[in-house]
Formats: sequence, structure tokens, C-alpha cells
Amino acid sequence: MASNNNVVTPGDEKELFLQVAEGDEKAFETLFNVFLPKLYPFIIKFTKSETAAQEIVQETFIRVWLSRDKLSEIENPGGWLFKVVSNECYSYLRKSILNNKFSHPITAEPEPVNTTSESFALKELNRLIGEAVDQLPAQRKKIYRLSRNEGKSIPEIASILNISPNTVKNALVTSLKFIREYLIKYGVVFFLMLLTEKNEKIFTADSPKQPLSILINETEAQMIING
Amino acid sequence: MDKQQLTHLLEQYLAGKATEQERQALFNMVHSNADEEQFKQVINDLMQKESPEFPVNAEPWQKMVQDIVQIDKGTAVPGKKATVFTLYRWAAAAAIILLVGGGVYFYMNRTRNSSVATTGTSATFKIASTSAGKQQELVLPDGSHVWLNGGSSLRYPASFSDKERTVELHGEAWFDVQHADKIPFVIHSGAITTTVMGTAFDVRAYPDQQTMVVAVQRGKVKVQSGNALLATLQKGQLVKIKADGHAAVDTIDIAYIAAWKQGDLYYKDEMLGDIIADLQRVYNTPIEIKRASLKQVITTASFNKNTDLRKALEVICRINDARLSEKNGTFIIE
Repeated sequence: MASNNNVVTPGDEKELFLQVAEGDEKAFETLFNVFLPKLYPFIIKFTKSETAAQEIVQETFIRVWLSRDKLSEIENPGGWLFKVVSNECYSYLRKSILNNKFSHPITAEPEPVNTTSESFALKELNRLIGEAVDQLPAQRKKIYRLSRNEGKSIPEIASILNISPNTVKNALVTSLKFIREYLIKYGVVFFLMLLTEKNEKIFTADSPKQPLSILINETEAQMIING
Repeated sequence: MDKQQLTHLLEQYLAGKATEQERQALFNMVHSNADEEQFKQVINDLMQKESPEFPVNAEPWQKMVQDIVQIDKGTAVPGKKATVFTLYRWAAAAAIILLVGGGVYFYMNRTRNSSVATTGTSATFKIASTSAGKQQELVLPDGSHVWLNGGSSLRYPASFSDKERTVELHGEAWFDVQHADKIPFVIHSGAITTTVMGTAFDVRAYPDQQTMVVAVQRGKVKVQSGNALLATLQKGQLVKIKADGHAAVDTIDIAYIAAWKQGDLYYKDEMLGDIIADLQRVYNTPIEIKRASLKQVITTASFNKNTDLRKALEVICRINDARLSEKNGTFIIE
């Protein structure tokens, strides 16, 4: 399924995004493999750092995965993905410049070896999400776990629990939303950048500008509106 | 700068052909954040024009995908080296303390040797924590003194390595760091790293506040977010880091730094929401701000801790034209 990466038609692409929206891990893997070759060469030329390029890719795809339910709402999800990456590249450049990495290339400090924080970050995310799921109401928690931990599809879950597939789908969407809000509450900022609940309306081009909270990157939201 | 010029500059930069002048022009634009939107658009355009090419080492990428889909499952992310890449983007967020939901964090198994430590260092860690309204003083393995304010916790090793003294803080603490030649003292609070070489300063990083503050009473302190330097502070200076990453350096009368240690409360140009969150913690009493807009109001206030909470809140309400009421032991401001 991951072969023929360069021959994915726009129709296929949209289909892929829809599958990812439903939580299909294989589809996500394919999506990753489809976009990686399109993104990576540019990112690495831009950041001139393999580490930075890898980090940008990772953060981008984490955002995609944790906001997957919204992918079905976006008109042009591929274009959105490119926008996320463009923003990340700009932020990276800005931070490097503000950090004076370019003015004094020789005296730039060596990267602090902070191996505790790298697995700490993903582990911490995982732990926080675990906490959030724990706080879901009983039915929703059950549905979520059947989906994520046991890999059951929506129709399968519907039949196991004797409820409608629509109910299952809504439960999953609400759970993801709760998880994102929980992460935001505990300070996971990168989700504030684009797909926060407050920005739900920004995916439609003609929506009125929403009053944005102090924590959200306003210019990014504006980009999506003008999309 | 018009779009064509910018595109040309960026193309040169990407190809590694930009002259020093061109690089400077590009960097100045980014530094001043002029035309941010246009810049991002040009980046986007150039990105789309790039020809796709599969990056060489496939394995780490496969691992990355797997790690990502595991994130929202019940299973923990496997192994320490499973993730080769760092999530350095936490960076933008200052008051961002990856917090401690209750007791869980403390009991996480961390007996593996941290690779930051060098030989001869014990892998065991200690955790000191305080509940709201209480304070605690402790001495670290190197002789440094720490005063923990209410609702805070500090995680530190049983003995420090000979390369670096590292601790993890959630909440607020006053540090009086022993000078140790060439061994920096490093405090991690979420994504922010504060590095010192023998000084006295306060770090305020509570998860429920939007602003994080580091204030120096003596010596010199370096505050970073990931690799980005936010500020280098001297005596009498402080830096306020907002959740969106903006850092502002200001001065403060050193007598007021960590006034809480003497039992006084001092807030200079703080958001009301943050002040109230602090008061809740200090007095261990729930306080609710009903009018959301009030939370962002900048206020300066100082109290002796012996001041009755009601009186303190009355003053704050008067300053902000708000009304104070009480219901079932909770104060309400609207």
C-alpha cells in the first residue's frame, strides 16, 4: 500500500485524508509516506539542519494525527498541510535568527544534550492523553478504547456495543476534542497554533473573524481564512 | 519588499548561493517580522515547486510514524531511544509546565540512569512538594538552598553529576545556588530552562498562570526556551514569559523578589487572572472570576500575607471596578 508514492491522484489524496479522519492508522502511514518526499527536500534546504527538519516533520504529523477528525472538514487538506509546514519553517528561521545563530556561527552554543526531554516530550504527551481518556465518561471511554487500543473499526464497535455507527463516530470526535482541550489546558501549545476548538469555524472561507484568545497565533488563523 | 524580490532572495538562500548582503536582507525581514504573511506564502510557493525525493534513511521515519499513532493509545511510548527526534516546539510556550496531574507523575518509574549524568552519579531522584498555602525549605546535594512556595514541587537527584546540576520545577521556588566552578545549575520548568552559576533568584512557573517569571536578586541567570535564548538577567532584572512565547525584560526592586518568603505578596503589572490564581493558592480558598475580561487586566498590588483575604479582594475589586461576593466558601468576582 505504501508503494507508488508519487502516483497518488488528488482524488486518492482526498480519500486518504478521509480515511485518516476516521482513525485509520494504515492510511495515516500512507499519508506520511506520500507527503514526506514532497516536504522533506524543501525543509532540509530551508533549515539546513537534519535535526530541525525531522522535528518539523514530526510536529506537523503529530498535529495531523491528533486533529484527524477535522481533516474531513477541510476543503483542501493537502494545501493545509503545506501551510502548516510553511509556518513551521518560518518560525524555525525566526527563532534561529533571534537566537543569533547566524551572526556568530562559530560561537554558537553546541546543542545541549538533553536526552531526558526528547523521550520526555512524547512520553509526556502520551501520559497526558492517557489521563484525558481516563476522564472521559464511561461509554465514550469504552468506545475510544475499542477504537484506539483494540483497533476496532466504527462498524465493528457499533455492533459490539449495539449502537448506531453514527453514535460511535460522534463519540470519537467528541473524545478527540476533549483530548485536545485537555492538552491545551495542560499547556501543550503547539495545538493552539491551528486546530483549537476556537478555530473550528475558520475552515470555511466566509466565516466571520472569530475573536481569538491571547494564546492563539492569530496570523496563522488568518492564513487559513484567506486560504 | 515585493514578492518577486523576496522569492529571488529565498531561492538564492535555498540554493546556498546568497551573498552576505542578501542573507542579511533576508534575516532582517524575518527579525523584524515584516510582512510575515507574504514570507510564509513565498515559502509555501517554493515548497510546492520542489521536486519530490525520498529521504534516504527510511527506518527512523517508519519509527516516527509508529510513535505518532501510539501517542493516543493506552500503551506507553516504547523505550528511551525509540524517538530519535525532539519535540523542540514546546518552545513557544512559556507558562507551559507539563504538569503533574495529581500523584501520578511522582510515582512514575524513573530509576533508569539519565544519560545527562556522568559516572558515579546515583540514578535515584527525590521529590519535594508542597500543598497550597504551605512552604518548604530544603537543601540540595550541593548545598544550594531552595524555598518551595505553595502548590509546588521540585525533583532533584540524590547527588548531582560533575557536569551539570539539574532539577525540575513545577510551581514556584526561590533558589539560592551555591557557586560551583564550571558546573552550571539548571532548572527545567516545562520547556523553559534557567541556567545559573551561583546566584539568588526566583522562578515562578505555575501551570494555571499564563505568565512565567524569573527574577534575579543576586548574580546572573540565563533563561532559554529549548535552544532559543530568551534573556540574560542581572541583579534587579526579571523576565516575564507569556504563553505565546513573548519574553519581556523588566526591572524590579530586589526587596520585592520572592516577597512571599517573608510573608508578603507583591504583584507588579501582572494579569489579574494570574494574581487571583496565586491568591487562591496562598490562602487555600477558591476564588472565581466570573467576568472573563477581568482576567487579562494588568494590575499592581502588594499585601502583607496577614491581610484578610476578603480585604485583599475588596481592594482588587475596587481597583478594577468589580463586585465581590461570597458563596459557600468561594469568593466570586464579577
